[in-house]
Amino acid sequence: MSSLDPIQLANELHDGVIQEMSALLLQLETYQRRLEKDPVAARADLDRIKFQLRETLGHIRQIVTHLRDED
Amino acid sequence: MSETENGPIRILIAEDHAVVRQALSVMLEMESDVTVVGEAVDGEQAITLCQELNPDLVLMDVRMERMDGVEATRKLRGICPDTAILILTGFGDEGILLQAVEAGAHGFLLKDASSEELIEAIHRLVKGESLVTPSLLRRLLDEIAHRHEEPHPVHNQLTPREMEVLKALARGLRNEDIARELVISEKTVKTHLTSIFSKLQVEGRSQAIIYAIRHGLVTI
Repeated sequence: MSSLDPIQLANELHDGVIQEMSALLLQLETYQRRLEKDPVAARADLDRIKFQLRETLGHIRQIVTHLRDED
Repeated sequence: MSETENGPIRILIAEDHAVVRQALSVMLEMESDVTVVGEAVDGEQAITLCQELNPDLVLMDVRMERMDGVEATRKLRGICPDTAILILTGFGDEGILLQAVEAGAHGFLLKDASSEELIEAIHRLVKGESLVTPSLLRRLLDEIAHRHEEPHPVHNQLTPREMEVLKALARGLRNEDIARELVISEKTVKTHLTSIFSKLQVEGRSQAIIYAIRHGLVTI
C-alpha cells in the first residue's frame, strides 16, 4: 500500500479484513459445533482461529499505520 | 435433486476469497448429510465445475473476479436446471437482489449467517423451497416496489385519451372494438395508436402491450 484514497481503503477493508472476519465467524461456528462431538479436532479449530485472528490483527495494524503515515 | 435418500447433499462453493471458501468448506464438511464436492474461485469456474459435478446446490458469492455471482447464476439456470442456487451476500451487495432473482437464484443469506441458518437454508433449497433471510427480504420487496419507477417514464407524454386507447389495446381489443368503446372513429383509433407507438418508442401493438404490462399501466 503506497497511498490510500477512501475508495482504496474501502476495498482494502472489504477484500481483506471483512473477508477474514467472515471466515473467523465461520471458524468459530465450526469450533462451537465440533466441541461436543470431537474435542481434539475442536482444539485444532481453535489453533486455526488464533492464527487467523493474528493475521487479521496484523492487517488492521498495517492499515492503521499507513493511515497515520499519511497525516 | 437428490435429497438425503441418495446420500449427502452435494455442494459446490463459489467464493473468490480463499479464507472464506475454506472456512465454509470445513464447516459444511462437519455435517453428515452434506458434502462439498467442489470449490470455485469465480463464476466461470463455477459453471465449469457445475457441468462436471452436477451438484445439488451452489453456494454463490456475489462479487467475484471475471464473472460475478449474478451472471454465473443466469448461465447456470440454462446449463444445470436442477441445481439450487443459494446466494451469499456480503456488505454492500444488497442492490443485486432483484437481478439475482431474475437470474434464477432460489435463496439469499447474509455471509454472517449462523451455521444453523446456513444448513437449514441448504436443506430447504434442495427440497425445492426458497428462502430469503428477513433483513434481505425487506430490501428485496423495496426493490420490487420501485422497479418500475423511472424519473420521467416516456408514457407520461401520453394524453389521457391515448392512455385509454393503450389500456384497451392491452385488454386485447381490436381497433373497431376500441372505437366503439371510446365512441370515436376507427381512423381516430389508428391515429392515437401511431402517436402511442411513437411516444413509447415501440414497433407495434404487441410491443406497446408489453410496455404497458412492464410499467404496471395495466394488470393481467
